[in-house]
Order: sequence, then C-alpha cells, then structure tokens
Amino acid sequence: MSVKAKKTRKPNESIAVKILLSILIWGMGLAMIVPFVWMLSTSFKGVNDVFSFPIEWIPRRPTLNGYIALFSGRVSFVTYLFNSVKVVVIALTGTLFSCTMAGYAYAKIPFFGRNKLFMIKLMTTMLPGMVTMIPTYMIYSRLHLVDTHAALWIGSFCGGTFGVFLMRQAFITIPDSLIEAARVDGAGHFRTFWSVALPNVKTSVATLLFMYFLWTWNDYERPLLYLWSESKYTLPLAVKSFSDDQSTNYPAIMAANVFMLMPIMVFFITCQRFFVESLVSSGIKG
Amino acid sequence: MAGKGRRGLSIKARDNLAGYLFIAPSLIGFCVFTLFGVLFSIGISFTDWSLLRDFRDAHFVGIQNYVSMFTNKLDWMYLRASLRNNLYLLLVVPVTIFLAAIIAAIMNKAVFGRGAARAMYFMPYVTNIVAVATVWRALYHPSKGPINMMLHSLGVSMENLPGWLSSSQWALTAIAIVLVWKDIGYDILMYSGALQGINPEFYEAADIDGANGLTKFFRITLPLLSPTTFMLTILGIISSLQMWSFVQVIMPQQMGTSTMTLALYIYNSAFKNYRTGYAAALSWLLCLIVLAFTLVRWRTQKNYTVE
Repeated sequence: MSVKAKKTRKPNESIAVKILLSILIWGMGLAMIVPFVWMLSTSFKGVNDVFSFPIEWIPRRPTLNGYIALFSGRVSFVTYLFNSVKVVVIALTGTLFSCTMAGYAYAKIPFFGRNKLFMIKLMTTMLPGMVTMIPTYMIYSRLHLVDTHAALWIGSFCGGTFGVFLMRQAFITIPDSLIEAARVDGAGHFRTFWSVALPNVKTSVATLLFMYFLWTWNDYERPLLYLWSESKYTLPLAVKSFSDDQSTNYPAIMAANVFMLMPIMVFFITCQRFFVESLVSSGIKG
Repeated sequence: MAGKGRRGLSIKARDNLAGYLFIAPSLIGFCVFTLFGVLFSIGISFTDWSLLRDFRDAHFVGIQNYVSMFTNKLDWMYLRASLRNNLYLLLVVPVTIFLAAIIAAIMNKAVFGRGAARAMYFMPYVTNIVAVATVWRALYHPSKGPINMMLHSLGVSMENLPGWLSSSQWALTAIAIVLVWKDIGYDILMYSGALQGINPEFYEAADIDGANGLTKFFRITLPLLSPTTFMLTILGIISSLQMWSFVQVIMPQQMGTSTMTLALYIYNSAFKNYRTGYAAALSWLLCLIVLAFTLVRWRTQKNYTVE
C-alpha cells in the first residue's frame, strides 16, 4: 500500500525537484559568467559609463572607441594576432609529430629499455616547472633564441610528457594484430604508424591538438620570459602590457580581452561536447 | 634466416633503431631540458651566478644560498611571507573541490540543459589568466567597482567596504575567490565524468533503505568519488604551490609581501633581482615542499582505502 502510494507520488515530486535544482544550477551558472558579460558590455561603453550603477548591461551610449584603440596604438593588435596564430600553428605541428611518434613507439615498438625510459619520463612530471625554468632560459639565451618566437615553439618539437602519455594510451588500444598484419605486408615502422595506426586514433589526436592549442594560445609565462620587443608579443602578453599602458581606459582593455578570447570561445561553444569529452578522458588518463 | 628483415638487420635491431628514432625528439628534449636542467639547477644553487654575468665570474658559495633564505633578515621576511601566503592559497583547493562535488552531484541527478549549464561553469577555465586578471581588477575596483557598489547597495557603509586588491588585508582573499571561480569548472567536469561511472544500483539500494539525499551524497557519492578527489587534490596542490604568473598579472604593483608567493619570489629573484643562484636554491625548496605535500596526501589516501 505504502509502496504504491510512493510510486504514484514520485513523478510529480521528482519533476518539481528537477525544476528547483535546475533553477539553482542555472542561477549559479549565470553568476559564473557575469564577469564575461560585464567584459563584453564594458567593451562597448564610453570611458565615463564604465562604472555607472546600477550596471548598464546594455550600454545606453554604445561606442566602438574601445575597439578602435586596439588598432591605433604603436603596434596594432593585428600584429599580435598574427604572432599568436604563427606560434600556435608551428607549435601544434611540432606537437603533432613529436607526441604521436613517441607515443606510438612507447606503445607499439618493442625497443630496448622502453618501459624504463617511459617510467622515468612520467616520474619527472612531479618536478616543478620552476626548477627547470632558469636552466631552460640559460639554454635558450646561449642559443640566441631570446626575443624570437622560436623560444615559444621550439619546446613543442620535443614531445611534452602530457602529449606523449595521451598518445601512448591511445595507441595501446589498437590491437597488436592490426600492426603485425601491416608489418607482415612489408610496411616499415613509419608507414605502419602513419597509415595504419594514426588513422585509428583520430579522436585522441584531436584531443592532443586541442589541449595544446588551448595552452599555447593562453600561454603568458613564456612570452613574458622571452620576448622583449613589443612587435613580437603574442596576445596575452600584449593585452597585459596594453592594460598597464591604458590603466583606466577600461573599455579598451575589455575590448582587448574580447579580441583575445574570441577564438577560444567560438571554438569552445561550437565544440563544447567534444571539448568536455577530451578533458574528461585526458584528465582520467593523465 | 627468418629473423632477418629486408635490409639484413635482425627484427630486433630494426625495432630498436625505429624505436629510438621515433622517440628521438622527445628523448633529446628530456636530456637537455630535464636531465641537464636539473643538474645545472643544482649546480648553480651553490654559486652566486647571475643571469647577467658570465659563468667565469660566478663563485662557488657552498650552501650559503640555502642558509641565507632562513637567516638573512630580508630574505627570510620574503620567504616567510611567501610560505604563509601559499598556505592560505592552498585553502582554495579543498573549497573548490567540495563545491565542485556538490554541484556535479546535483547536475548529474536532474537538471534541464545539463551540457549548456556545465559549459557556463567551465568558461573561466578556458580563459587565460590575463583576461581573468584584468576583468576582476575592474570588478574589484575599491570605490567604483561593481562588486563594492553591490555591497554598498546592500547596506555596507562606504568606509566598511573591503579594499580588495588595493588593501593588503583583502588582496589575498580577493585572489583566492578568483581562483575558486576559475578552477571550479574543471573539477566539476572531472566529477561529472566519475559520477557517470557510478552504478545506479547503489542509489536504488539506498532508496529501499529510505536514505535521504544528503545521506546518499555523504555515504555513497563522496566515497565512490574518492579516486577523483584524490587526483584533484594532488593536481590542485601542485599547481597552487607553483602559481606565480597569475599573481604577477592581477597585482601589477605588489604591496610589500602581502601577495608574494614562493614561485613568484623565485621568478623575481631570478629575472628581476638577478640573484639567479639564490633563485635556483629556492626552486629546490619549492620542489621539496611539493613533494612533502604530495606524499602526505598519498599517505592519507592509502589509509582511507584500507579502512
């Protein structure tokens, strides 16, 4: 009797609960994006309207002055955008080759000392980046890479541990028989890797490129360490120095932020599902 | 005969050759930047070398760098303040993780438009630190910023409004709040992934026993999420202890030592004050601290699973 009563009551109750919980989650979620909304709306405001209260979410006197300021400084933001794109494209090329090849070798080529080498590489991820920051700077400066874009992308050709690990885990799932079949047919290791193994791990390759795109595009520390000339700045460093220059010109600073975040946000919103899956899988593996 | 490949090399030799060729870039990078880097860093931590000078002008100073951070008055003042601030900022890790677990659990249960909702929480995580810092600096503006205006309209008097980033008492808290906001999305995502792997029978069994939502959360959900919690705390601790650039961007003018962190102190020592040997010594202290925290967390996790 009581069980029956419970069952008949449940659907209504659970829908009410679901609505309440949805309101809660969406409410907090909207609060999370308030800073972005503020940024976007401020970028279209005049300098004097920035802090008017109650907040003007839709500017009453919209202006593009903030955006115009981006292209009228000593160095135009178009240059910064170009620098960022250039560094990202080269870095992703390097990552693609170094990480997939190393990952494949660690997973599928039985070479001498493979597992030991891999373990050592994994263990060094525990080493704080601060420890190698000074030696790396010293090496780059001896190689005359300071104040060049190469300082930002050269490391990507050396296979980051995260990427190598991600790709190794991906290649391990390919059945050995598939690799052996290709080898028996006379394909060399490189051909087997390139035309048999790689097409089977497309999703992981996409995850790899995506994560490194995010990190390289957002990287602020390396440009800060290595770049001196303003004309070589990538976007994050450029926005930082722009915001120091313009200190109270908030519309221009926010316009610069919008300009910098646009590619990531467009990507993030259009590929949200893929993005989330990438991160969850890479997080659990890494 | 059967073991020979086309070019007369044995299969084993060909595997070795190919294997090392495939990992060559990653191996070279490892040897140069990690192995050599570690040795170089240990080496210069015993010298007074500065980035601006040649190696010939560097002197061996023994363990002076390691001693002076604790005995030199100014060095110790900076180090002590950094350690205190780092400890305070470590509180961000459990707070973020706990909030994320609750939000993820609710989301997993029943929410309309879950994907879109999750994306909103996740947006700060994909945003770079420069944008985060410059936007929050404006929001935190002490006399005109939206946050203080809101507090004022809620009845906080003008004199009692927190100074946020321009007050040495509030700056660290202001930074901590931003860090929770920035990192929570990632933790929610990881928990969502883990929650989808929980067998619903656990909850059905609890329903039959008449357990309420809270009991289920604390008795079933949290314990089953403990591997994720473990991973998130380790990652959180490591990145929190190593944070410098975010503080450097959000506080262009440091107010004394009120927001100094150990990693920022290392960066400043190496690249601003050019006490590079000293900075290397500090980086090994940081390494030791990271290791200590990780080991402690490891220990407690083991005990937890044995129980």
